[in-house]
Amino acid sequence: MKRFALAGNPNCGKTTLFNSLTGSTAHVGNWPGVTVDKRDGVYKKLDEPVAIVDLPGIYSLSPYTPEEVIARNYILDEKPDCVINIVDATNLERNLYLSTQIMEIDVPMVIALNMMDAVEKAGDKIDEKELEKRLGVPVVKISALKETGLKELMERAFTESKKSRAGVTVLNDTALAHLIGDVKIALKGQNVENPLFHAIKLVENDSIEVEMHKETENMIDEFKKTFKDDVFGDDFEALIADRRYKYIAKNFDSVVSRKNKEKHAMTKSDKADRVLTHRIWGIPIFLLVLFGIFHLTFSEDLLFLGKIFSFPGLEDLGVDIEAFGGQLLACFYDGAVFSPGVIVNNLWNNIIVNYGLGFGEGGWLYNLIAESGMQSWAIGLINDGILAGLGSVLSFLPPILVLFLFFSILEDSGYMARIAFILDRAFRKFGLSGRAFMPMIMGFGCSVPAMINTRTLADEKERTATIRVIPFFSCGAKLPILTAIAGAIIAYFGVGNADLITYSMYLLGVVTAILTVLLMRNTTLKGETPPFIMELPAYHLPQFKNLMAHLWDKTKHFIKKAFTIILASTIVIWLLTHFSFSWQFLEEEEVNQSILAQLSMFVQPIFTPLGFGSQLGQFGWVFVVAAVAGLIAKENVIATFATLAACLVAVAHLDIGTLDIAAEEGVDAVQAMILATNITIPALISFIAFNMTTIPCFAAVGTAKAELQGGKRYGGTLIFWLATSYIVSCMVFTVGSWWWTAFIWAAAIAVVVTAIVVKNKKQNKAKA
Amino acid sequence: MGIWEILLIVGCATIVFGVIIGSIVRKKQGKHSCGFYCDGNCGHCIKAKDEKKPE
Amino acid sequence: MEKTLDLFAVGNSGIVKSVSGEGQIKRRLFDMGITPGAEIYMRKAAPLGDPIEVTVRGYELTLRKAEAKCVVMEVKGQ
Repeated sequence: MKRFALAGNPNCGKTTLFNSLTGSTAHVGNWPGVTVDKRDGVYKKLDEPVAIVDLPGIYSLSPYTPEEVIARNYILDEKPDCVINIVDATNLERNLYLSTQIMEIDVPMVIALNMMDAVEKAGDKIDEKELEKRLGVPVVKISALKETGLKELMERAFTESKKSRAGVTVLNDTALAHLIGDVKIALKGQNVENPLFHAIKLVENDSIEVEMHKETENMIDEFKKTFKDDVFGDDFEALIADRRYKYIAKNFDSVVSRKNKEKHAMTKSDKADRVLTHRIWGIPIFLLVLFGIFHLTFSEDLLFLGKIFSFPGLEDLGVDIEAFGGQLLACFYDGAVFSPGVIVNNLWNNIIVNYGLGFGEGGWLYNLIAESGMQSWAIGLINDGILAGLGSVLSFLPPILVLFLFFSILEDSGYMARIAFILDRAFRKFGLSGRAFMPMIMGFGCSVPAMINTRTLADEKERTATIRVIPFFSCGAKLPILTAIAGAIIAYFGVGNADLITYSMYLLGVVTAILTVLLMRNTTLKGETPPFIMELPAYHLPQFKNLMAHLWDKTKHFIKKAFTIILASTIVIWLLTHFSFSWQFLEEEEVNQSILAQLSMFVQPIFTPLGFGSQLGQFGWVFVVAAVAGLIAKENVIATFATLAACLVAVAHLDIGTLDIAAEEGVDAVQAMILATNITIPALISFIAFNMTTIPCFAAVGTAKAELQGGKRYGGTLIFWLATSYIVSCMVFTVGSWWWTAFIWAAAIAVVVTAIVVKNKKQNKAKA
Repeated sequence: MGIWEILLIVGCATIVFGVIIGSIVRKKQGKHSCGFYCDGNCGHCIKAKDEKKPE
Repeated sequence: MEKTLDLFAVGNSGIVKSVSGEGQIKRRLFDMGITPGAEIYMRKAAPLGDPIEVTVRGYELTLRKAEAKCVVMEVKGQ
């Protein structure tokens, strides 16, 4: 099968073209650099099927960014049968700069003039025949979006792929030509493939190239001595870039005839930009947009109408909320109109998962199993293990998708790039660029899409640091832990304020994130703040088709995960909590003897410095189990409390008075735990802190592994999470219990900071 | 134990071992389970390049 | 009059005279079309004063002032 590679600038419509050609659903966004890895697909409308490879978007074939190296190595080493160079016709000059470099490689090539619809709409014309003549490479007008010209493009590419093409350069008419020619002849003598390309890169002093052809170094230096330029001296990299642009400006300006000669004419995009990145209003508008997204996703009171008008609740209206109709109504309204995100969530969980699939307690499947006459362990495994596990994982789907949709819209429309522009200054202080903001804030919703979003970060170290701190931005699933424990503290000890505890824990997460980023950027992930030289794409309306493709891709991936790895781990956890080491099935009350409990008791002493270890006595292990169960999904923490509290009450003969352990928010369950273990307030807070900053849920860990491409960075990330959570909770517990320990911590931190500063200074001196 | 219980055990075992064996097989085939679209042909993949380096 | 790009006021325009700076940053500026002779129009600064947004070769580019400092411009008379 022939292979065609798509190459072009970021944001030139390459991925859209790829999708149109292959019918695939690759991720497309209006943000430079969405395709970080390459993708494969098949085009079937020619006589024989052709493999299409979507290379990362690049501006140049320089050796500086991973994308450029990936694309360059692919074309040179994998030798595709034809390179389709997509050129954004609305921005010919900069796009052709890359074309002039690809032309130097000995590979068949076709130029696709994309976005011709936008050019024609503006009333401009491009003479593609003239362009083709001047470049010496076939040029085809297309619109990837409207899917015009695609057939012709592929046919031309197919014809080209049967021929072979020797590289040509636009650097011909300069004095450079002799120099390049000499090097090329020398390389040819050594039987080097693509001699022209390598010759030019060697003259440019390209680091990868010089490494590859060390033996030619002296020769080239000899050649270079014969050459002098008045402006650039011996800076050949600059000289060659300059010559390329000069050639393009001279030769291709006449190919375009513009209707509007005015240079800085206001387009619609410019007008939008005037408001959205306004000097004063830019930041408030951004905050409003952000608030709006979270409001539309999570709020149970749309636009605060319920607060303003104090609508009656459903029960006050006499609606039977037990009946199906009432349940359906309750998905949309209860004393206030819900936000779209909450409605989708309710419909999905209450109607589809509970009624349709029958997963929840009282659902048809649940009842069917419960009354099936199977042995009790089998019923328990299906209902409390598999169905409950799958149900809680599936319940994540709506908020993830809704949040993902909103952020896709931001990305697709081009606003995301502006957010980076607005916030860059503030983020640079922490050694990050403005682009890191979006994934972090997405973390408040769910870590999984947030981590995927870090793909837009160009610098590998910055990206790693960002992925590591994303879980500290407490996600939706961690909120129940906060509310249950805060509620129990107030109910049991009669001190504090629930909102205050919740907010300060959120704040603790953010502060931890900031401090650990600073720490990492100064130690293990040291590096210059990556340069911020970025194209700001024109705004455009998001494509509905594109958005849906996005969501479908996400859903498929999620469902696949839920029914494989998450399902498997649910089964394993159930086994571990219901069997003892002697392989005996245990009733709920005997949970103390389960494998998981035994293991937890074994590691319990490790948690003593955090306040929920050995000092809690024989039932203290429940906190450990809850934290471990939280590694599967953070909802498990409170769910585990509820299950275990019931067992504890039975085993320890607690007098729990009016407490209702099965109550949903888990406040009473936590109170029963306090009663059984005599845990202190600082230890409870430390437990929250631990859960917030430790290894996140299974799904997030998997995503982090995928995004960090496994290996050392991933291992380091797990250790980082464990260490951070251990230190943070230990600090919370000790300072909360004995205030004077704050001085010890302060001194320890001061020592560490000084050590790092001194070490870095030494290193800088050594470098200088 | 009835037929349903046996089916349940078999089903669960299939899922758990399927997931474990699946991930081992992918590794053996040289496909990284990194989620990137390598399809076993890793010339482009950053991770694969890191591994190739020591030559 | 000569000026580095970071000192430009909104609405200024000029022609690039030379580009300094080290390896990666300089190459990046070149690749994005900031080469001697290119015309640059300063569109705006971000709300916090940095980075800046310019028009070069018919498209919008954003860069930090630290990077803009590498670009020496010949200011056009208004």
